[in-house]
Amino acid sequence: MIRRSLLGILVAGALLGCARGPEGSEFHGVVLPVPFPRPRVTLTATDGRPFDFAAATRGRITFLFFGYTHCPDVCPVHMANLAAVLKNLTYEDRDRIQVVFVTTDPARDSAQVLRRWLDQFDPTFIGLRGDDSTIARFEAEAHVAAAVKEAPRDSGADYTVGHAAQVIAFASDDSAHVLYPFGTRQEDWAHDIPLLLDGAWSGK
Amino acid sequence: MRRPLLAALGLAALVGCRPAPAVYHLGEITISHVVSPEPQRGGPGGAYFTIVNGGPDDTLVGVASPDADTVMMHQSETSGGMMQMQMTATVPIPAGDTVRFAPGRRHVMLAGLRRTLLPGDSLPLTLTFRGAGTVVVSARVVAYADLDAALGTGSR
Repeated sequence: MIRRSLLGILVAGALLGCARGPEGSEFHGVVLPVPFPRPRVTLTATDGRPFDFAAATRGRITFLFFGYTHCPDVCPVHMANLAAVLKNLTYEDRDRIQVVFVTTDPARDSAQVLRRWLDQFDPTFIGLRGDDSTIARFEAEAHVAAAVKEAPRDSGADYTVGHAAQVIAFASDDSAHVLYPFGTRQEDWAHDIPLLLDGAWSGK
Repeated sequence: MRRPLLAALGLAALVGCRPAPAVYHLGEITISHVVSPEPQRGGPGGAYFTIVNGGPDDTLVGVASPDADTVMMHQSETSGGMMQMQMTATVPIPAGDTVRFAPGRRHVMLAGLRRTLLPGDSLPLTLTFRGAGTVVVSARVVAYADLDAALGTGSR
């Protein structure tokens, strides 16, 4: 029940996004009417160590994305755009931001595959993997629909993996405040990142 | 007097350095914004373009390239915040319409690339329409971070 109403909010948020965010919002991203806390789930980082998401990202601006390395365009476009904008920040600002990519295709995305793929964009991007049920729990706590594996209609082709297309921004108060749907451009990121760093999500 | 002329020449030279984006014509069909994102390590290639149909209803029935073993057209769909991908054998190009191949919508996938594609390279593509026939276009290879800019407003 709780899950369904939150999904409703996400869908509503995505619709509002077409009109440049809720009225009065300074953000180009979609401001969540009801913020939610960082998922308290432990996955495995590409260096093989356990990564307790809530604890390891505490207090930092965190951009969370669910995707997979065989993803045709949505995942690399999101990651490349974010990386390009982060490169322009000062060291101090950049140091307050983490990007976390959770694979929804752990069967094909080994730690090595994931690391190499992320390194193309930014070697500081954190890659996480785990078993299907832990990833599903992580998705539930991040209020995104669970990834669906879809067999191709034609035999012989690789399967594709459905995934949530938005980047979730957690702020320094450890809650998610803004969503960035697919189609977010570098100029949108460049506009919103200083607002996130300034704590503009608090409505000041 | 001398200086403004030189400045004008310099400006003209600068403008001249930028290649105009290629536009291809096939009867009343116009194809522009032909772009290929730099393939990810070991991954397949891709291509995007914009088709404007000033003529009667037509159908894009195939895309081929001498640089890939298999070329397929895919369509992405978002429902309830989830994105899914499907293969499409043909794409309708209705009269008077603009059909964009752009990230999150439609893309061409090139599996089994026969050479390495780097930003700045050109990738030949052959587009076949049921009515208008066949045209060869050249996709410009760009880094993923430059894709939105290369596709212009068409990526939204």
